[in-house]
Amino acid sequence: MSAQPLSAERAVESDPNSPASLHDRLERVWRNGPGLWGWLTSVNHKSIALRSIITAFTFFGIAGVEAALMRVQLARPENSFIGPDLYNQLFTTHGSAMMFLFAVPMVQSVALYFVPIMIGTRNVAFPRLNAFGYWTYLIGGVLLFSALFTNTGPDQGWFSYVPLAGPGFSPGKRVDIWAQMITFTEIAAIVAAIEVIVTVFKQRAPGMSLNRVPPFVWAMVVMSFMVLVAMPYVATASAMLAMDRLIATQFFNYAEGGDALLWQHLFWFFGHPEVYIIFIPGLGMVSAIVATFSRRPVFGYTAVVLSLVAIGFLSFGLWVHHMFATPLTQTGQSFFTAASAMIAIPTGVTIFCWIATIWSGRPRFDTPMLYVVGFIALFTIGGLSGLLLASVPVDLQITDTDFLPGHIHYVLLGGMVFPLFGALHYWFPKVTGRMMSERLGKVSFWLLFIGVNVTFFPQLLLGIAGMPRRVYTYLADSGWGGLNLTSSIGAGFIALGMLLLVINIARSLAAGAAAGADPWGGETLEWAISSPAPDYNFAYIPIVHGRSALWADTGDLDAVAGLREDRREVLQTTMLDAVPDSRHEHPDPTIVPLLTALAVGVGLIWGIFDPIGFAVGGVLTFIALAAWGWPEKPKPNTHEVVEVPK
Amino acid sequence: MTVIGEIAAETGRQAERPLRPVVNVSDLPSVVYGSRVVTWWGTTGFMAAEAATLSACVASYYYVLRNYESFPPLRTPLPDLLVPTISLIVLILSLVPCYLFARAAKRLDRPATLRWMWVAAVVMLIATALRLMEFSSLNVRWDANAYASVAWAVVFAHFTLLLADTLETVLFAVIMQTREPTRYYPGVAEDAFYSYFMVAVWIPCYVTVYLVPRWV
Repeated sequence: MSAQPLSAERAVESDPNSPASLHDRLERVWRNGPGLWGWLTSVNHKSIALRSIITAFTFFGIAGVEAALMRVQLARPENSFIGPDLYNQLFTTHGSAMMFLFAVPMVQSVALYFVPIMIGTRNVAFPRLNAFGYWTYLIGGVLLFSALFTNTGPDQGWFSYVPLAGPGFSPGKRVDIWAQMITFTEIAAIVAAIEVIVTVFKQRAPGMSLNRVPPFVWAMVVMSFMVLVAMPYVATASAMLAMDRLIATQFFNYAEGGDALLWQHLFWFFGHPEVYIIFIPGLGMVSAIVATFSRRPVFGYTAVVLSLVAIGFLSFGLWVHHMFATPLTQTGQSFFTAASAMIAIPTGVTIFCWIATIWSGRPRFDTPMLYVVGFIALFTIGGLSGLLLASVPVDLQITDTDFLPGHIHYVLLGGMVFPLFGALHYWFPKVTGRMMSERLGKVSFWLLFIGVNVTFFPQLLLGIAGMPRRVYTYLADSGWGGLNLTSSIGAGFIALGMLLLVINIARSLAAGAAAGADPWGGETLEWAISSPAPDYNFAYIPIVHGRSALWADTGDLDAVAGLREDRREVLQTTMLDAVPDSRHEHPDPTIVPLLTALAVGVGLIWGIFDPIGFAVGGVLTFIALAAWGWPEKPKPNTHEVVEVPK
Repeated sequence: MTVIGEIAAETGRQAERPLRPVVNVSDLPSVVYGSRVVTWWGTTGFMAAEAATLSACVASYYYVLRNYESFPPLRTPLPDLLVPTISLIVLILSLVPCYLFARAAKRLDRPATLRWMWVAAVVMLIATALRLMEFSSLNVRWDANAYASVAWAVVFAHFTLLLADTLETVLFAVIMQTREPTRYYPGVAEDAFYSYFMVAVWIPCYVTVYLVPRWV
């Protein structure tokens, strides 16, 4: 390590100014610009992640209202509240928005907010790229819902199977809008994944060797690697679909040697890992909450981390279990059944580690912890229903029935939404500086927990009874009315729970109790700094001495001085052992990421109607990227210290 | 078991933790190279995503191949070999100036960096032009059949990488010619690193699109 150790006296000498003025200097350098312009040009990871979280929640809300409308329609047989065409648009945009505009962006935004603070750095590795990712995502989301509100909403289902989604059966532009929404969100997802990986690999606080990285951060790293491999597949597939529709390529046209199953393979090679891309961050959030509320580090750190990595790898070997109803060889069926069963091993290991953590700790059942327990219960039902689907003969009976939506909602609400709501209650004080109401939190938890079960368990039963999924109504003598009504009443509970949650957020923002830096007695670095976190995160970069950064040192934290305070400088450390290695100047706020996203937006949206749009967008994007890459005027007092490779 | 969090909960509830500087990093370098820089990792991340995209196209090619009794399909001529092979050779040759400007950039040798960057830029522009000609060497339009569509997809997907790399090299050359910011030297070296990747992934694509139809 080339950094110089300081004695205690020297440390004081090197910082003759009071902490308050240090705060002012850093704040001046790191804060966003004022007003709307400052908002548009921000490159601060917390500002961008927070607006991304709010955006994702907004899309979640709209998609939730769509779900409520569908439940109203299905509440009784032969209902005429919603017609078939609108119903098709509702379930397609509901599923697409929940997957592509809520779940993935949400977990990535949580990562982009907390990973830098948890690993002790001041910003993500590529601040402008981060802003670009958000704007791209926003354009994609607005595109999808603008289409829905103008009666051009996609109507082919969220996995867009051909030939239904092909030019022959879906004329018009609905499917093209879906395909382009995919492209926007995949660009954003890949960008965010690279941000997380590089930030964790290169900007960890000194001393935070890889084997001391919090499980939450590990989960986000594993998720990001999965995004890098999986997302390009759906982006490629959706581009092929768009080209089949726009310039008459024949990728999926059987008559010309194309193949409908090619779509299914490409889609599910992304789509199955996608489930784990959503679920693994949930595991990370659960790990963080379980440790804090059991008041001890997670039991079996190494086993948990290796299990996360194993789930990541295994999830790429399961995709064909979504295709058991297509002609597969018996060997193929057996292989994918076995692979599907195998993932229970690492998942089981993590669950047992949490149980051991709770068992051997002193658990406190505040709202975040309740959501963890709710997660374990719901995810178990989701997992068990998945076991039925992994069995080929059973799958053939219940595929394309209401069993599927029942199963997927148990898995995703259990595996992602409940941990997320737990995380919301857990980290709300850090983000806002105020506590949420425990009483309202517990009431909304129980409403949601009961609501999810009352809504989705009947759907499992309806599926077994033979009710197809994606039907806008059913006959009175089918005998499905009672269970459907029950399911719709359950949806009412969920809506009420969500309403209370929103009220809780609003009330707490306005009048919640002051949180202080560390309201829960947390283990990781984000609890070392004030709430809400300052723009620069840490006045000095902390030095980590153990896995539980804050519990290993109970008094003052050792830290690093010497980063410049007159510009945005961050410390880079070595990948394995996090030894200080170099200093790196970050860019100031700039409008260029937004302009680049707009250029990409022009290309992709114009390209829905005319291929020339791609060329125009390409040229505009290159111009924007040239502006991006063009060097800024060097600041005064810039002294580059170059270390050339030997 | 000692419940460590309990102690922390008592002591750290209100104020933020005081940070006590014990190490000074002001002597650390601000310009370093290779995997010590975040941009190297960022580039590697994009390479992973781009490799996945190309692998999706190539996998689709082999998937569609199984649908035909004769390959390429009946009444579809084989792709030409001449232009694509010249293009491949030019691409591989472009790595020589890339290597040389990267080496010069690692020594902060401005004249050599500029000289080899411009040579590389010119060679890559030639490679890009040849790639455009390659589309007609496929001897079939993209909409003729699924074989044509996947072949175009592989070539086009890689074309976007080649074009992006070429434009990046030209842009870097202009920046280094007119501004020469010291901190851009590692980026210049990475531009070459990206070119190695871009050329390496083309080789299996070339084999797939131009040779496999001759072998099956």
